[in-house]
Amino acid sequence: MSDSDRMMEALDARVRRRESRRAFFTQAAGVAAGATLLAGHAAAQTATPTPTPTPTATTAYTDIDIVNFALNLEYLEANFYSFAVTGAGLASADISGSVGTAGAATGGRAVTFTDANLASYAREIAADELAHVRFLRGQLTSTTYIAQPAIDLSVSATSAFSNAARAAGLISGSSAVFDPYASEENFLLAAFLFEDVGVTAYKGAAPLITSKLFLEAAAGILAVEAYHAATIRSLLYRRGIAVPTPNAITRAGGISDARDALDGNPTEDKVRGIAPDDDQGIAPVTTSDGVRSNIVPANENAIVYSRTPAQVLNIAYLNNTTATAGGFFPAGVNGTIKSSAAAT
Amino acid sequence: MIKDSVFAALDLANQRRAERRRFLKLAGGAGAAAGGLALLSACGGDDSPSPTPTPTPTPTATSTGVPTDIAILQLALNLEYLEAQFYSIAAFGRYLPSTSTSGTVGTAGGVTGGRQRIFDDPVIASYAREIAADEIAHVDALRAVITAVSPNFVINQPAINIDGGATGAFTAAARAAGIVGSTETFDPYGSDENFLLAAYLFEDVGVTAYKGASPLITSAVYLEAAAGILAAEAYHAGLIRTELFARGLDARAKANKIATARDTLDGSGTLDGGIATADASGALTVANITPTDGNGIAFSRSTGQVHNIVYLRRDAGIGGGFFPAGTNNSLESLRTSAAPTATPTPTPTATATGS
Repeated sequence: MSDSDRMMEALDARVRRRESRRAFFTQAAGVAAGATLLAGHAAAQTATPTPTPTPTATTAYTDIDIVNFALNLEYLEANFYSFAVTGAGLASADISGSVGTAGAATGGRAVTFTDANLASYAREIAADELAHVRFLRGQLTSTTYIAQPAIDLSVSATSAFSNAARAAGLISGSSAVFDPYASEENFLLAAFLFEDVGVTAYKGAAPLITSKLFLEAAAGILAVEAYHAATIRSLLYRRGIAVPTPNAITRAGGISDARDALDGNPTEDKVRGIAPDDDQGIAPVTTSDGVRSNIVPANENAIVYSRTPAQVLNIAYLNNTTATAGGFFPAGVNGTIKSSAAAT
Repeated sequence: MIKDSVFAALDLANQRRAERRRFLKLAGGAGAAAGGLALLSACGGDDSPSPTPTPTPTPTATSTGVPTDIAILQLALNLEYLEAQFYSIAAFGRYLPSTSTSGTVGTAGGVTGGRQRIFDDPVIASYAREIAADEIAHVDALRAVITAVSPNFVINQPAINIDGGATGAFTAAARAAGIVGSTETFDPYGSDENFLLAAYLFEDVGVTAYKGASPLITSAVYLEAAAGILAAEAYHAGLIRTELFARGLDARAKANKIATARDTLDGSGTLDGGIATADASGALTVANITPTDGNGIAFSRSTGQVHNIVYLRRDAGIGGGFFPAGTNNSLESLRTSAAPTATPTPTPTATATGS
């Protein structure tokens, strides 16, 4: 079954939840806060027998595992923006490594920007993502950081971008092609595909990090990805209002739905920001106070969502079940965290 | 942390079965208290991204018996009160209901000033409504999380000044930044652009505050929640900064001046960045939507530095600016702004992003 088949299947199977995002606050906050406190208590009494843990929390990762996992994502983002801005991917000095199988980032090219502001935003984001690659590599040693894995940024009917776009409803038919470099709007949609995922990935990894200094750095990268995401989302929103067809708001919504269909249905936790429906497009909402935008993808507590590393790989691999390669990483990511989550 | 996460996940199921109260009581004495205040000075003003080994702080109870995690959440709640009241009055023409502002800790205060903005641009109006709803949700969420530990730990909303007149906190901030003259008034409700500039004044501070507090939080659940609020603030900030950049050279220059003013107030090197840097001709055409250090990482502020900005003062103390009587907190130290540092040399322009 091809990547796109899996995505379409996931989409078809999806039960769409349309909870009101900003319904009144529920008891969930109190429940989870109590959980924390119990956690502290239980952890202090290490002899306490533990019942069967939930599957998502059984794997203990080292900080090196987490940094390398993040580095895969930054390789992907940095190469995409680098191609879009300069026509070339990252330099070999920024992608070499002794862990994992080295691969090339292939198929990208420069976008012809006509909007000077957008061109400047793209250059800024490209620089930030490259800085993230270098920072993460700098936290490890040449014997512990991963090589860049193979990355598919190409343009063809079977490329990762086209498979994702097909599942999102941006293109239809097996021979259709989505070219993220062909127009400013396509570039924005491709950027949209990545940015919110980066935010949820760093947020989901935050509680897994042991070192307080890594944690603070990760929080800083999380923030940067969220700034980027807001820029991209707000530009698409204004574009969708200005240009009715094809509508950028609708198209971004399709991508959000596709991401949500891929990443499973974890049990909701409204304080930690975990939910089965953990993704949102940019369609505005009509309220008694007037039309409200939706630039921030968040739950009713206005807490942005988390994804586990495995859920993030569901999206990167374009696969809604267990896999170790696919989509944007045709040979898989490098490092110890390789597998996407089983379908739920 | 990993263990905490496991137990937290387990307990979510357990909670539904029962005895939440008993757990809370047990936990209050055992594992909830957090240490890490010593880290404030170590981490808060630290521009350096290179981690160096730091011993894990030993959990300690605070003198007031309030867990440090809760005191951090109280600090956050003060900032959310401020933001929520500003956006709520600007977007909806109403303040928060008293059920969202009353508490036990600290002195209750009212809101001075503020009025509804009838936006010229309906898109900006829609942004204002979204951000207002988010900030109100943050207030209610933080109050609920604190209440779950003890209703006695919920802080009152302190006195807040969001007045748009000549004696308002916004005018004081704008005069200090030089975006209005020394006798002029800055009214954040008077134009769409002024609203954006006022929003911008707050949003990046929220990001740096949550980031600076992140290593002080010991609970994995609170940490993840705080990371989710941090992300929401960063989305807001990215939105506001993008809108300001798109308005052109004048708005960019004003926003840059506000960043410089914030950076001057907090006294510790460069912890801020404007929205644009100059091109070869000197024009502010190079976007800096994301304020970062040289590693593409957002800045942190210590709790004291955050207070320098919201109090609009460079010295150590309690009260001023947007919180005339100070913020409320079970820990006195978390109400206090930082003393000026030896070499307060703010950089007037944004740091180069990722270079």
